[in-house]
Amino acid sequence: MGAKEVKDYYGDYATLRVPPEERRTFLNMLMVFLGVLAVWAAVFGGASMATILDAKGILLASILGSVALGVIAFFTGLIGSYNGVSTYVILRHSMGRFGSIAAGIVISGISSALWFAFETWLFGVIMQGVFPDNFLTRVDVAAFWGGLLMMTTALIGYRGLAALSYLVVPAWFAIIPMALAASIALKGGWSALLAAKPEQPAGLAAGITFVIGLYIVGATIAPDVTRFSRRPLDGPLAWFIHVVIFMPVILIAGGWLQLLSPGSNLAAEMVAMGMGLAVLLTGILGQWTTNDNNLYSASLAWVNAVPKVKRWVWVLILGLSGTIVAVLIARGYGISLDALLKFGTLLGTFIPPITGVMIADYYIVQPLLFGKRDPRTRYNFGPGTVYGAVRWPGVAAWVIGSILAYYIPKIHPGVPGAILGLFTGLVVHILLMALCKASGIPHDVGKWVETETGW
Amino acid sequence: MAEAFTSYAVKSLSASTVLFLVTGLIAATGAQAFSSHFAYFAVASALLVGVNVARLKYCSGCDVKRVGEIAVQAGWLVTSLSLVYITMAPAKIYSMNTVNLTITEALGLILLMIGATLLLKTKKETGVSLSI
Repeated sequence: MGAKEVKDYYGDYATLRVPPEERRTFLNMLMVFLGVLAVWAAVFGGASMATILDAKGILLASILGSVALGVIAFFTGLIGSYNGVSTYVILRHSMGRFGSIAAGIVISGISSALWFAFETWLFGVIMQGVFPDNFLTRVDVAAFWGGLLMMTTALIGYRGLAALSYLVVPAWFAIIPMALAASIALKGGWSALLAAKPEQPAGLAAGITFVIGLYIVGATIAPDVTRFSRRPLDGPLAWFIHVVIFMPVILIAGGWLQLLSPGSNLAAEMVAMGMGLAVLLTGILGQWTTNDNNLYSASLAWVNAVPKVKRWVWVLILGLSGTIVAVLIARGYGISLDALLKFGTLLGTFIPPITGVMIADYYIVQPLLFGKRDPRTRYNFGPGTVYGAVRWPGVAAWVIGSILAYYIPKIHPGVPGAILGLFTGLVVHILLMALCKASGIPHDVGKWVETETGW
Repeated sequence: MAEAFTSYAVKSLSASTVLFLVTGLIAATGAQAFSSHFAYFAVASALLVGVNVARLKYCSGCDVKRVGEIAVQAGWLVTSLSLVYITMAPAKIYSMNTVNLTITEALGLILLMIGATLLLKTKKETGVSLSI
């Protein structure tokens, strides 16, 4: 921030560098990341792999996919921890001010908000599944109070997310493996698991791609959390460890159980084993620690996009509308869940190229083309900083990467769209920036000067 | 002040370590099935909390903020892990008899209170945020 004191107008340093006194420890980052992962939807995601892979395949795909995610987000997370700003503010350098607005809305402004609605609805479904005969746990009613509940920590900001994660994460990661171990033993044990075959076997590559696709958005927006890192490596390492060690545990839990007992899910199995209280704890609190992060990131993206509206107002707007959507889905009032999920998945196709552009710009373009070797001063932020209004090579790389990631897998189903998009974004951005530098073509269209509030 | 508080935190966490082992032992002997799960959990919990006791002792010369940070992190750990006993012990799959179940639940609640008290006291005496 330099010597100049800047007022945090939007709250929670949404547009500013996080000051040193607000930075958090490695353990804090690890807990917040694990809080995102501690959710029933991740277990259900693992279960999806059981239709294409056997026990060994699920194990390998989970580990290899998670390592790939760990590497990707180590790079994005490090940008956040060096610079102390959110994903959307970082993107101002590689895509320009308006490019960052558009990318931020796609990454989090819409897709994270949609995920908030989906997870809130899923919360209602889990509650009704555990306690079927209670008015308060009816899908629509539970979605309503659950959505309001999950807004509270996002309203507080990063401190709220962290405190809740500290409470939930250790218990969640003790309960789920205990439940899984008991469930596997009841269903024939390890020998039955190793003998079980998937319904429609597919290659390991399909499984790895699936795992990467599950969490690529999280890898892209890692800077939203790592900007609070006390030391540069705290946040990126926390991400790497959470995704490489803990994510496979959850995916394998869901996948193996599904393989042993097709059609079942761990939540229902736990209820059958008399672990209703544990399902309630992991369901309410686990869903909460994930969904508040969705809302938090969405609010940061909208602060970067619309002037004057404070972060907590965005949390209220997005949280209330997400809750209403979840209730409407639950009541079947004309909102199609399928349509929402399809839209969310479609947006998911457009996100990895942005990740590629972000990584390419910070680690290759700035040091190699512009000689900015020191990662701490590679990007400038703060009042008076001049950005391009649109940095067209970054935006073009995003568009080209998105088109390829969308169409190529339709023609060649074996090609992983997320990975193709990421590498296309990365390569095209480098090439276009190098072309601009070599030919003297301006890489920026127009300019934008950062205001006193960081907008 | 830092020394007095460190001493309190070390005592709280040492007591928690012992209680995790005792609770785990009772749960493991009381459970008719899958008793080893509670035994593994108890040992893992005691180890994790024990590491924090060592961190505090190693940190005896640290300032009160640093001590507070460790105490907050350890306090959350005790609070969170106590919830595992409270929610998992009643599961019918473990077939725990009433006496053992009652003792396990009571010890789980005591651990919960120790953790919560440590958190509140740390915040009050060191000023360290609970979200550190």
